[in-house]
Amino acid sequence: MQKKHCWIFPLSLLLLTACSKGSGPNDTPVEPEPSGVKTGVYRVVNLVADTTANSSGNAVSMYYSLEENKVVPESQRQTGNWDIVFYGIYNSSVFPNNGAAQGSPGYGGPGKAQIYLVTDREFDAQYYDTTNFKPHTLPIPQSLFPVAFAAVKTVDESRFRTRDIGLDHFQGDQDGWGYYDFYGSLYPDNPKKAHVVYTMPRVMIVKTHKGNYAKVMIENIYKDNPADPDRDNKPGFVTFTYAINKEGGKNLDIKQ
Amino acid sequence: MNKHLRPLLSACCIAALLITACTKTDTIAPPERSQSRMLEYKIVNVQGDPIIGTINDEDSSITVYLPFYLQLLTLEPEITVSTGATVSPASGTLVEDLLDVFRNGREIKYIVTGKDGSKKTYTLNITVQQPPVVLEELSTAESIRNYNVRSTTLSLRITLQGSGFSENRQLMKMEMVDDEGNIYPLGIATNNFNDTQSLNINLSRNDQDLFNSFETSKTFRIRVYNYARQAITQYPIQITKT
Repeated sequence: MQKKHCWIFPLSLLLLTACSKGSGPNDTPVEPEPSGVKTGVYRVVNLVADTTANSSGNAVSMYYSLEENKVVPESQRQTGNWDIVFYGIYNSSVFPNNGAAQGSPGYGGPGKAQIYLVTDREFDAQYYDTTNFKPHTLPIPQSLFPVAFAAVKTVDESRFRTRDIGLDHFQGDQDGWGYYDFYGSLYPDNPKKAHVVYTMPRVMIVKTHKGNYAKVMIENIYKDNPADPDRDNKPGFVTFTYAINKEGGKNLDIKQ
Repeated sequence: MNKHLRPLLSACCIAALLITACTKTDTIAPPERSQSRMLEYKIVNVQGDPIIGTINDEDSSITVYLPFYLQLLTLEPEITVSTGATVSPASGTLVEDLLDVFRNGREIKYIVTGKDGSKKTYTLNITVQQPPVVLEELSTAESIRNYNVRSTTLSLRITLQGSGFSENRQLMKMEMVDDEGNIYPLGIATNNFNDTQSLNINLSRNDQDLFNSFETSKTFRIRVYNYARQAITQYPIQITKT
């Protein structure tokens, strides 16, 4: 009996609310335009960072959008318009745009990007002394770079961090993308070999500010990508390759 | 009896609701609203929830409260205006170089143009929630502290105690001000900062303008900026060339 009239209450509620006026601005939601590059592999050659960079201080930072494949001006540091920055000495620290990471370039802004370096010691052993943390074969065979890049096929979400990836085991014990021979100890008899950065075939995984995944490999920081750089080569010309997945998945086995 | 009463009561209820629900249709229409209004102003280049600005149509102002800890130097506003209206600068246009806004009072205005052609100009006020910069005096009202500097080396370090300084030197600025109000900017380097309560003023040959501005001695006051705050010493110090 009681059950029979349960409908009265929802009905009266409906009636009561029926005449409330729909007030407030009539915002028609604007569909965000799909922007930036498509899923694919992109190579950036001789990107001019700070060509006056030297070993005694920080270079002018270069902010880069992997989503758009372009440089972003410094004035947009605290926006979501960039994904990684080439920062510090010789532009050698790669920071993700993360506004929550104190002391990082994007601090205070909306940035949500994260980064990590893929480590594969078996692969590294081909060119690198994995106990003393320095290259054992110089110049590092160029053929290893595309192999290292292709070998990275997916993302390990648990490894992401908000701090930078910099020079390998330099002023710390972090693995890095390149080896900085501060004293020139790899070539003791060649004075032009001190303060030289040797890029290694290593891949960084970036979660962009928008949440897409990309793999990035720095090929060189010297002009025209020399395989065996010395002090006569001009630093501040970054060459790197990256692949980005714009479909939202973790697949980074992307070919062109 | 009871059996028949219940549906009847229900019917009465509904009827009552129907009658009362929509009766008040003769409301007095409010005065026509301007078609050139700003409805929403929020800062979106922050972590988490945006910072919502307060819009005051009476005095055509937008007030935004910024927390100091974010150290924002750029604002990215998202603006909503009346239907059919436009705003200039457009929503999403960055407000750059906030330090210039704080220190030189650059005005930021938005013009909303309604679809009826009416225009309204809003002025942005930025209020930063930040502790004040406080400087401990080096001199007193009775005695001016003197610093000797050798004319041959022109090297001098003055340590200034206080509070409200920042370790992020991008946010800081220091300058010496003479009695005529001439300003001598001082370089800022990492070694200027001992901690957030003590900083060093390093004068050297690079500060030519300052040292060339007097023969033997001169008095200066010291001004320190940190983000949106600034302070100047009340009493001057004296520099004497020996």
